[in-house]
Amino acid sequence: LIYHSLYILKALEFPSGMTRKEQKERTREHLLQTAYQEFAKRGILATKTLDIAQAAGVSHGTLFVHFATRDALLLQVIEDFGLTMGKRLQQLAEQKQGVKATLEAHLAMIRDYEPFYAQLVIEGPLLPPLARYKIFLIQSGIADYLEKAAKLDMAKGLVRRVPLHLMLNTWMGLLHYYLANRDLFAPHQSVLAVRGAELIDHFMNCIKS
Amino acid sequence: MPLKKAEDHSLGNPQAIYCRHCTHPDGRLKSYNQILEETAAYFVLSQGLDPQAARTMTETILSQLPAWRNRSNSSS
Repeated sequence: LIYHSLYILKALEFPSGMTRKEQKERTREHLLQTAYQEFAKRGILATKTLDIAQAAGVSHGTLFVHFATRDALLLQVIEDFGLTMGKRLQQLAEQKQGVKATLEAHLAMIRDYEPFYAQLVIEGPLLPPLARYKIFLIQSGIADYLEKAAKLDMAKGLVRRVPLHLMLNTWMGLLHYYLANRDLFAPHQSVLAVRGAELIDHFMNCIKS
Repeated sequence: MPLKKAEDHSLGNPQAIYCRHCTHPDGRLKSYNQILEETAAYFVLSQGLDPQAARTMTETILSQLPAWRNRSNSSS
């Protein structure tokens, strides 16, 4: 009877025959996904670990078994987000040529994750240094593709010769302004879906030869 | 850098744990100082950061990577 009871308890604890390690990994992934959604919905600084634990359906203590601090959880969310963005950008931009096509790929990449990305834009300067630096690492991905595209278009005489960092930062400034104020530029909609084409056309007009 | 494709790895070998930017042509890992200088310079060139800010940022990022996590201040 004792053996049977233990077997039932074990089955309840680890559904579908999962090992303890698999269960732990699943809970960790679930917490990361939930944190990502809560940060996007509530804002990064406004979201408490208790909010994340409750939304994930786990105890507050369980969250700290997986992430020692709130910052550790935030850093992992941004790290995972950066890797996802990098893969998506690679899929979208690898076969593209020229600045305009690269910017279209950039917007398509962000559009899939717009609410969270907008929070990074709005709150980035207020985040811990390492979190902030990881955001700059994410920007390195687009900087790399934009550099290649700009050199190509400059060689063809299609765009003016401007320093890469100014081209990148001018684009980012425009894009991030619309993202940070998305509730005013496109209430209840994707600002990139509504205004993205307009932003690209304007930027291309500014840099054309 | 993220290791997505074979050519991202040192020597184009997917089994290599370091990226091509962090290694010499023969596959040896570059020194900490060389990687620090090159990465900080890239941030200055590509994103226009202040050189000292770019250096501080790179030092912080490198300190999180397995190769440099336990590095003492004096080692290269």
